[in-house]
Amino acid sequence: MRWMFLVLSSLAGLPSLLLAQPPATLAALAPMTPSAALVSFTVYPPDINLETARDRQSFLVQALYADGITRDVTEEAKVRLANPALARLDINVLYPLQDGVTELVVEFGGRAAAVPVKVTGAKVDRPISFKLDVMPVLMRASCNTGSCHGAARGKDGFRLSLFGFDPDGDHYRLTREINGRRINLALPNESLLIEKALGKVPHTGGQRIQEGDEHHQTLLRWLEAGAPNDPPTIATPTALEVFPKNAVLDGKDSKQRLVVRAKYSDGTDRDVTALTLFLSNNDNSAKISPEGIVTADQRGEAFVMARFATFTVGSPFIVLPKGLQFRFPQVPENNYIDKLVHAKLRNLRIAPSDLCSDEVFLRRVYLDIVGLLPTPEEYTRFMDDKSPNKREKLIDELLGRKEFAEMWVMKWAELLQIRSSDRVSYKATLLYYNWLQDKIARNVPVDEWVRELLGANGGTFKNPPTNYYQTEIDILKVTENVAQVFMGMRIQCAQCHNHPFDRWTMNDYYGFAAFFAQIGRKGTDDPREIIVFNSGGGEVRHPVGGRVMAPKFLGGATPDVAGKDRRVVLANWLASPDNPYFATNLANIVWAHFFGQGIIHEVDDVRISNPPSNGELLQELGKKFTEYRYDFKKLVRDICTSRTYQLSTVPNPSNEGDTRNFARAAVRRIRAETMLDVISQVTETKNKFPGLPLGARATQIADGNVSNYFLTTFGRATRETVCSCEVKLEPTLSQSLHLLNGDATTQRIQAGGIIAKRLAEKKTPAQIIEELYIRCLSRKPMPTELDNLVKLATADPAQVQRGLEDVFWSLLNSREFMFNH
Amino acid sequence: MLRCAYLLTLTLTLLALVADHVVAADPKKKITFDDHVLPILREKCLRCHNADKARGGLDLSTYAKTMEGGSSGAVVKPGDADGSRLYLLTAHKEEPKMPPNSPMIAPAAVDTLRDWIALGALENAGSKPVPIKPKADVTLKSVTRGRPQGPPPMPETPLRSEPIVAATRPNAVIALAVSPWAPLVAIGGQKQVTLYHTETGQLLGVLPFPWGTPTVLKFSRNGSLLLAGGGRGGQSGKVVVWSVKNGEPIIEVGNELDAVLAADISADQTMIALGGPGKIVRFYSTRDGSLIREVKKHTDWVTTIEFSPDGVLVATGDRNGGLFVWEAYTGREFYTLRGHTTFITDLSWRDDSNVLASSSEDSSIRLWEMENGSNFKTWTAHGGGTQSVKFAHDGRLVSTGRDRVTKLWDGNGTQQKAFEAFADIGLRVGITHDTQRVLAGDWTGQVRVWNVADAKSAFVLSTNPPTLAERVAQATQEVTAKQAAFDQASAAFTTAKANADKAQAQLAAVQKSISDLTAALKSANDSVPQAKAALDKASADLAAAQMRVQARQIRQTVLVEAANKLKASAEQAKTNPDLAAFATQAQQLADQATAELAAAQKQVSELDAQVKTAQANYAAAQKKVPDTDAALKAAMAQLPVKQKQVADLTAALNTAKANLDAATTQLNAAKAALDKLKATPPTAAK
Repeated sequence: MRWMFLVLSSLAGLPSLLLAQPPATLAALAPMTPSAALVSFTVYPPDINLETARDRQSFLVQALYADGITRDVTEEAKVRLANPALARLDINVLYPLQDGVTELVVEFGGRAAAVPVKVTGAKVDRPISFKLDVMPVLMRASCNTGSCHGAARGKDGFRLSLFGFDPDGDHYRLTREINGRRINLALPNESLLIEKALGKVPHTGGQRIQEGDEHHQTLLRWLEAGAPNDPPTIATPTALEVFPKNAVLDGKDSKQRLVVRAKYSDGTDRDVTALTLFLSNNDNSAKISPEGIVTADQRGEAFVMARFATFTVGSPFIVLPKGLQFRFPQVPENNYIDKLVHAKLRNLRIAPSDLCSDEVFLRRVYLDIVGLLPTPEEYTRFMDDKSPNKREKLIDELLGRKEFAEMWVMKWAELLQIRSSDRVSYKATLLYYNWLQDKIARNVPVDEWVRELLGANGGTFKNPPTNYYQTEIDILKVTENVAQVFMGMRIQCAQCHNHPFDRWTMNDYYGFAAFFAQIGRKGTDDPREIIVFNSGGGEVRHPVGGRVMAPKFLGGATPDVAGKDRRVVLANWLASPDNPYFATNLANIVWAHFFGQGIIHEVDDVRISNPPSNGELLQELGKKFTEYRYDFKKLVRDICTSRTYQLSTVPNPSNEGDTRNFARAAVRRIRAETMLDVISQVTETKNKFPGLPLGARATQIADGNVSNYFLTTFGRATRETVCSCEVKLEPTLSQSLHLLNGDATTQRIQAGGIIAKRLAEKKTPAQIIEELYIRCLSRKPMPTELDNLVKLATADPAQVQRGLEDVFWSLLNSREFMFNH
Repeated sequence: MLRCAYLLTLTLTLLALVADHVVAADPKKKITFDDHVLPILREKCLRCHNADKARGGLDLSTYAKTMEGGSSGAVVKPGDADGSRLYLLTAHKEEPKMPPNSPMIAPAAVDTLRDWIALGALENAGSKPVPIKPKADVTLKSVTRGRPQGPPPMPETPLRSEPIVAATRPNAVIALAVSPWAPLVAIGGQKQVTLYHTETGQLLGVLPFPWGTPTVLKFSRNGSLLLAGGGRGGQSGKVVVWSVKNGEPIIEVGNELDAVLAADISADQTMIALGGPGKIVRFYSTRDGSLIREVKKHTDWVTTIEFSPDGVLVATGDRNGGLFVWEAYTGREFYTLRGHTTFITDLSWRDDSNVLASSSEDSSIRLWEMENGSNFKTWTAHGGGTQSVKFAHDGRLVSTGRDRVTKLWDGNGTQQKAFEAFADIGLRVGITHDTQRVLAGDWTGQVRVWNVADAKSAFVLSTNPPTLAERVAQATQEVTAKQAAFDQASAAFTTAKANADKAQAQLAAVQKSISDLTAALKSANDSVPQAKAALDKASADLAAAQMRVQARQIRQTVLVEAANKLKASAEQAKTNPDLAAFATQAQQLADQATAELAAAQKQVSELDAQVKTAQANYAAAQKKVPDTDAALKAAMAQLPVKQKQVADLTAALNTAKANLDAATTQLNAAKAALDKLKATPPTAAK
């Protein structure tokens, strides 16, 4: 993938050169022939295995052109078999004839490639299998979705397991739950299963399969064989491959077929394109037909997914307007972040916005790093600084401030749900918060303290991180929280059925939960304190079948936990480079803080069907984070010093439709705590929160349970769940009303008395207004603004103070104030 | 015109004939829509029921529209005034009374309407009445408890023998009913019901069920009717009732939108109840197929229905474990029987109607008494789920279920018998009228028949009977096999006969030799004293002869001496002629004596030889006795052997004979069966 970007970047200038050729002739001769030169072509899959007489394998040929465009040239390529006796070639599908090894030779555009073909068991039919043949048909026909028979109570009296998590149960329900109704072995084609699916009798779900097609034949064949179940030794799918791995489509209506291949535990593979359920996360750009053919539409990006068995695998598609002329601007790349962002933008033919002004940068970086606005003095100091690296210097300075640590203590406190409750006393909450604050303030590497947290044993007072296991005591909830916070995954679905849009099965879920099965808890002399310890006993059972699940890392190995504290084993893996999700997830959380959205958005919704908008970038950030030994201050520095972070929010024509690729900065509402803090800051008023001294900042509140009207209104996280959606940034009417009429503005302006002080200092209204602008918006007013406001404030000479206060109020109520831009 | 007149005459004649036959009304009177009915309608009804307004979807302005009916269905059923709403509503026999808010129209007009319908609802003078389907009346005057009078109802006329569907493999047995009074079982198949004889396993015939798969089969309480319910899943459901005697369909009811899952006919045969996935129990009249009532109490699929044997109650069960008992005639809820937690699979009433048995997927069988509606007995009958339960006439129960074992219980739920397990889950069960045999069907489509006495399998039946051609082929094969058996038996008989004859001859020989030997022994025994006497006599003779020899010896010696002395004397006295004469005389005497002696001696030697002979004879005679005796004994010893041989061989012969006879019979039977099959038309005789 990276390779392609490199190629592309080096060829970026080519399209325009090539366009110099007379396009009219070309178009007349071959309208489909792209303007750029052929770079290479690839045949997918890279090897073809035909096992048993019933097998077949389709393939595709994808050509890559110099302008980065890819084309499906399967039908144009010249394809032949080196030994035609071994297999029959039908356009793009190979059928076995005879055992042996040969090659599929593909020629296109004067180049040639060969794909190895291996045929085994060409004369042997494979027996029909319920799990490998019938279940995929039920899935493909959408029989077992949540809105149909996959619903918990089934549909119209018939239930299937959701997305087929329980094939044996489904076999039972099809064949023996209501005997004689659903299947008819005497007249298989008159089975209710078939008649309903074919729509021959009224079916709420309508016709799901076509009469006579492959799926119909599969069901029939199974019934004719006596509707057998599989032996327990039946192979299971172990991997799913989707081809091509990516595509850049040139204009509306260009097409690309997909080939999907499943690999099985017995070493065989099958072409499951016809059994796969295809989805596109952006039908507007790339629509996919049930047969797996992507048709381009509007410009944009789409992630096209193939779902088969428990797997969901996707390929990124980019759709460009036909014949788009684009030249990527010459912009500096401050670091690897810019390099990777630009690579993606180049691919998308998007130019990044310009660099933001110093004023905008100042305000943004203050709000993001320390959660405050620059004071007029700080503003002046920065603006007057003439050094070329003053932005870097500022970043370094801000990273050293204690408010930076406090900001991240708050963010982590949200994820760890630091909150007093029935189970966690206020004292424990404070101790827990202090523990976290200590770690962050001392810049303890994240992996270190996460290990300490997850493996914690002892009293909730003596060893505060044990409170993590008091905040939530349900084994399954703890499991879900750990996955969501530290790996960014919502695996809740897999509690009851295989995850429909991700790779997680119930086995994964309960295997992961098994790490938390042996948490012991006991009381102490102090009723507020609980001792958390490793009880060494307790197991998690799979709800289907009730077997004991061995602890298994999510997406990882099954470790030896005999005689060990399972949580320690887990923590050592989780917060290590062995866990592919840990570093990237944390990097994504950090990224999201500075850009308003993650590279994977939402940050705690990592799943195959929700791919990162820039996978290479995320991987690189994760890699760097690991290299930095999980010192996220360094990561923040990388992010803030990148040009990408310092872009203007003003779009250019190429990036105005884009929101996911960081081609411009996002306009973000300031979160509740920061908002309250900056209002207090600019009005020079003090807040009093329970348990904190007067003048403390909202960011410093330890207990999620402590709030006030302002914070609640502006969507402060209650810390009741670990969801990233806890922090609410949506506008509401009460927010507007509160700022308009509430005590947050007028009363604070009065209480702070800035206007009165300045007037007393004999400052002119213009000077005062300028200071208010710098205070609130970190910029000087424009001359017109200043003129108008001075006029307004001094309209009534007797009420100048009031007039200036109104200006102040207006500024606090302005959109520019409420947003970080 | 001429042709018209001819047609009219013909029509009228036909009409007269048909009318005579079909309706018991005045054949001469001909009431038509155009002439008689439309004027009445126009006057009273068309204001609302016209082509423009068509209140209630009903337009009475034309014959065609009238016959089409309104939104509630047909308003005229030709030939059945009491089933026609047009008449019922205008005659104020049913609500809503018509015309609305008005008095009834003139009684004469009402009668006209009634008669018009009764006479076939003709359109005009040229119309022919549609032949009216005779209504089935299977209603019984009273409900007989226990065995009905007369011979048990069995198919009497030949039924269709060719199966409607011959599939390559059977489907699960989902419908099975055993006649309460006859050795008859009905098994549901594909689009057909198959009847078998429970004592012979013989296929009695096939009843077509063209609506799909029969899901429920029930015999009427007297065994004379067979009810089948079923249909096409998700599409349509139907119940049909046949006469067992001739296999004719009598009643069809139901117009369900999914397969009927449960149905039964009441004991007095006036009602049919049915239900299915629609969750509604519908009661139909057997008289005219009309819907009597709907019960909408069930919250899930209605899975089983059974009327009580006395016809007073009806029990219904559903997929969710809901179980209700209703008053059959009123539809009032009688009991709600709470206990089962899921899917009621079957219901069965005890003969006295006081106890209801219910089986459920919750594994249990529950018994409910009808005094208070309490659940007085519960037991786990089949792990995983009980699929079917049936009361026998003697109050015992049979059941089968997911544990694949069919069981027989006493009335208290104590297991009495468990029959050999199926290969897959048992689905339906039944017990014959004499409680001698238990039948059960399983998921693989096999119906097994066991003897209750020894729990041994009697035979196996299939839901998927072979085609006639297959059966002919099978019968032909059977004939060939029987022929071979016959030939073998015949050959065996011949051999046995030969063996027996041979043995018989041998026995006779032995017997003869015994009698011979006996005689010989007797004669030997007899000859011993004779020989002894002969010997004695010979010995005596010899002794006498020897004595004589001695005497003669002496005399001879004396005489010789004397002669010699005389001779000598004579010589000496030669002159003495006397003396010489004497000497000569003496010599003569001596010679004579010598001769006599020699004769005597010869006699002795002869006698001695005689004695020797006699002695030898005696010895021989004496020896002959034990020899003969031994021979006799040997012969005697052989006698039982030979006798046994004969007996055995005779027995073998008899067996062979019996075999031969049996083989002959079987061969003849097989031949007859084949001939019959060959002669059988594929469909029913009628």
